Amino acid sequence: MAILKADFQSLTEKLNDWYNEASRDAIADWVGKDYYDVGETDWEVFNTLNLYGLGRPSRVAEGAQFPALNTEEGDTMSLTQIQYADRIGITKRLRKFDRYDQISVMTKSLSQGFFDSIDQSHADLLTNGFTGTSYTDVFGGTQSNVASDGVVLFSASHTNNLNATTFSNLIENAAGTANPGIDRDPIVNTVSAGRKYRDPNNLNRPIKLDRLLVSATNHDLAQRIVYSQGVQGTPNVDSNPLRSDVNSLVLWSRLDEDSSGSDKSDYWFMADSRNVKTTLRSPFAQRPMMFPPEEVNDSKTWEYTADMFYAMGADHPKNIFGSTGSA
Amino acid sequence: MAQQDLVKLASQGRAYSSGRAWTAEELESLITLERECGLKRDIAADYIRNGVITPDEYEKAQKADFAPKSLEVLQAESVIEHSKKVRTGLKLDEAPKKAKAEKEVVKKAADTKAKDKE
Repeated sequence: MAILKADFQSLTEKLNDWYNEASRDAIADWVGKDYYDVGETDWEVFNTLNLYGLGRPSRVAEGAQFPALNTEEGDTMSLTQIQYADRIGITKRLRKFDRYDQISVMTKSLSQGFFDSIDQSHADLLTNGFTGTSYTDVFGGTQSNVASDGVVLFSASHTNNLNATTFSNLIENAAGTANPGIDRDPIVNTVSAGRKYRDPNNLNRPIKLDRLLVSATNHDLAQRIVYSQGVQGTPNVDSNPLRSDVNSLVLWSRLDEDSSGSDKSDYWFMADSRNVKTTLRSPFAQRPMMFPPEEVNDSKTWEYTADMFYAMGADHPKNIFGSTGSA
Repeated sequence: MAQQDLVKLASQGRAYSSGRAWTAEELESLITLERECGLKRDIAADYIRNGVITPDEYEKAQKADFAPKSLEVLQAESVIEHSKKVRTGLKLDEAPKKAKAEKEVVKKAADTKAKDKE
């Protein structure tokens, strides 16, 4: 039986069900949400301010005034919400011949398109975060890959506004070579570098790099490196303590290739699961939502629209380390 | 769209200008000058912006009493250069002539009015 004008409400409900079902599955597969702060905001321009951490207390003489700690440190960044939108048309032909099979696929695909783009954009900021100051994102727009300190996201020379010290969030092997391929040695070295991190006030604030993010291509190798009983690839009888350092090995297939089609499968990253969301920011003013048509146009097509508002950027970059795997 | 506070970063010597960040090479040179020549970051940044990139070049610049132009001076110069380029239909040397001609026309009109009153 054809879908008539009187069926508009029930069709819309069906579309919503399909859309939500597809969204639920896509959200489950959305890796970026575990590493980016994807909270909701009402601000059109989301301003961030990071504090490196205050200094140490000082020894004071009896009756002396307590010294004040400097709170004017840290860099700021602003993230301006951008709207992304799409629409599908349920034509009279689809309705007349009850083509629920096609309507269902179109609706699910609409949702999948949004979440794929979001997750790809999140992966792309990492894989494009090694050179230059910007890149073309998955939507064809210009996206800054510079952290709040004005330096490209993954760099050996991150600066602060308190003193001349710098820090590196490039993965290095024990010999000090940056951007090594995934291997046990650079993982061990990076876990150690994270633990030794000192903030600009020279306080040791250990970064616990417990998440290993790899492409689908490198997943098997990474599993063997991390989960082998002994040291992977050697006849060594030592136990493999990486299993306790790296508490989660994450396969992120959108790291394999960025939205421009470049092969990034050798890239890999280590993140501090507790704090990485203070580095990677992606506030949403509106999650992807679908809306029914407000009026019928001349073609008699019912146009269902969907849109979202979000932004993305890198704040103080200490909580994620990366390697291009090219060295 | 992410926007770093480049105005603030540039004033601290942590970005080239309010319009762009340092390139990786410039940043590396900045840190080298800062460490090897004992310069404060904003001073080292001024040298880099003036093309003094290496410690050797810095030494030569010191011997030659070279004083790097500050970010403000460089930005002002760049604004003047830009305005020269975008000004169309009126050449720079024509502007004073035109203003003088306009003043003469106004003066003549005032004289004529005064004479008419007499």
